[in-house]
Amino acid sequence: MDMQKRYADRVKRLAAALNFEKTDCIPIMGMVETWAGHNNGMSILDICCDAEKLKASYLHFAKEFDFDAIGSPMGCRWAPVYSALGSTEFSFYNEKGAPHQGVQHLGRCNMEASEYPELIADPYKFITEKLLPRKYPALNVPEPRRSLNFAKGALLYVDHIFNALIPTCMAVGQQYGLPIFMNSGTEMPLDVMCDYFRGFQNIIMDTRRHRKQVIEACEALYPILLAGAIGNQAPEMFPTVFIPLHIPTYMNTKDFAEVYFPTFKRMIIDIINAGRRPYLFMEGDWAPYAEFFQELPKKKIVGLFEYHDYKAMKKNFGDTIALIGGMPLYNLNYDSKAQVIDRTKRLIDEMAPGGGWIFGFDKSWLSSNDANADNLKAVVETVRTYGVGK
Amino acid sequence: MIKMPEIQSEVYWTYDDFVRMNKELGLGAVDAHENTPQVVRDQFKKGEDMLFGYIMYLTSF
Repeated sequence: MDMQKRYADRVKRLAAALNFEKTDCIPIMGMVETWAGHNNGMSILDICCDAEKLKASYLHFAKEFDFDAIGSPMGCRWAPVYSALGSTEFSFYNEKGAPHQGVQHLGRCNMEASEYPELIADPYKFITEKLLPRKYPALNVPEPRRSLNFAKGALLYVDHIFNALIPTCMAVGQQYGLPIFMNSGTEMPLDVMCDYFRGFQNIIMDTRRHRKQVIEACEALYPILLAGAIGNQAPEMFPTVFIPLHIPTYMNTKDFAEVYFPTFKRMIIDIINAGRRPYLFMEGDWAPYAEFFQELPKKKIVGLFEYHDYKAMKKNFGDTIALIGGMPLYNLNYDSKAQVIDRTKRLIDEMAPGGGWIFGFDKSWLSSNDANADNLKAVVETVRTYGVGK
Repeated sequence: MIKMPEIQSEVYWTYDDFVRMNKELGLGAVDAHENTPQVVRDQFKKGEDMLFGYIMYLTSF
């Protein structure tokens, strides 16, 4: 089979769905992450340390399942970088040395509330001089060891990019005609402060106790995070710019409007103006925030919804953003084959009319029990037959 | 018009500094340097893009 043509056909199908046009068949996309390793008999340590095993796992998935796109293995955090820099922020195995099912992010506070002025005054300097030495003990030692450790980490990072990440993404395209759905990513400023600066509990309190400074910090971090989103990538609407959204659904709509939304809206618009398509990974229930999306450009965004009521999501968001989702991983794993086939057909009947939908799943696939391979094959086969011409 | 950040860091060294230091001090990471493919060296020497990407990776993802 001509894999270049297969790749081009899949991209054409995805582009049609993203542009709310009729597709020859409903496309399928999944964030297969570390499940790809489990499905290939490998632990997270295997695929987060060994470039060949990572590539082999993704190739195995591409061969076994007829998807139109998968996410890049961004969630397969490269353990050697963290190990070289002495970080324990990401955990790969338990106290007995047995690998976890998925990479664990151990939320921490790496910044005090009293340091907001310093962050706001020069965020990049704060990151390099204060935040990173706290996150990475090997960067908190006297020179010249600190710079040497930094450079060791840099070499491992570059090794990850050029020997693991890029070759894996290229291999599934070249050998199986399978596109990668995104080729860059970033986070919204408040999510970064939540996940990596202040921690969840502190940032929630900060939005009340230090509201003005939190808003100013979002503004200060914004240019850096925008640069991470568009960088030197070509201005093209596919592949997309991946943006996981973590904290919004823990905020009431007033806090969301005042603290989160200003930089959120600007990030979306600036990415689109740069000729690229934001891909929002919308964790939690976004129904209360639907009205905010009316302020965003129409049909230039794609979003994966975790919330299961996809019919309501299509009604509330479907005129603004293309949707990915429909099949909860819980059902994919625990329902019978007949049940998942029936659910797949119902989803196609409900979601396909009007376009703007990619068949997908509600979460990233991390643990071995996040997907039942037999059920998944039945789902793919159903989409490939029942989803034709819909 | 998108305002891009001015990335100026005097805090950390460049790849060339790393290479020089390894040679001067004879530290263990020389092997890592010598085994680094040319394409990686070339990319790294492009400088700030890769440094920025690395720092963002350490900061968030």
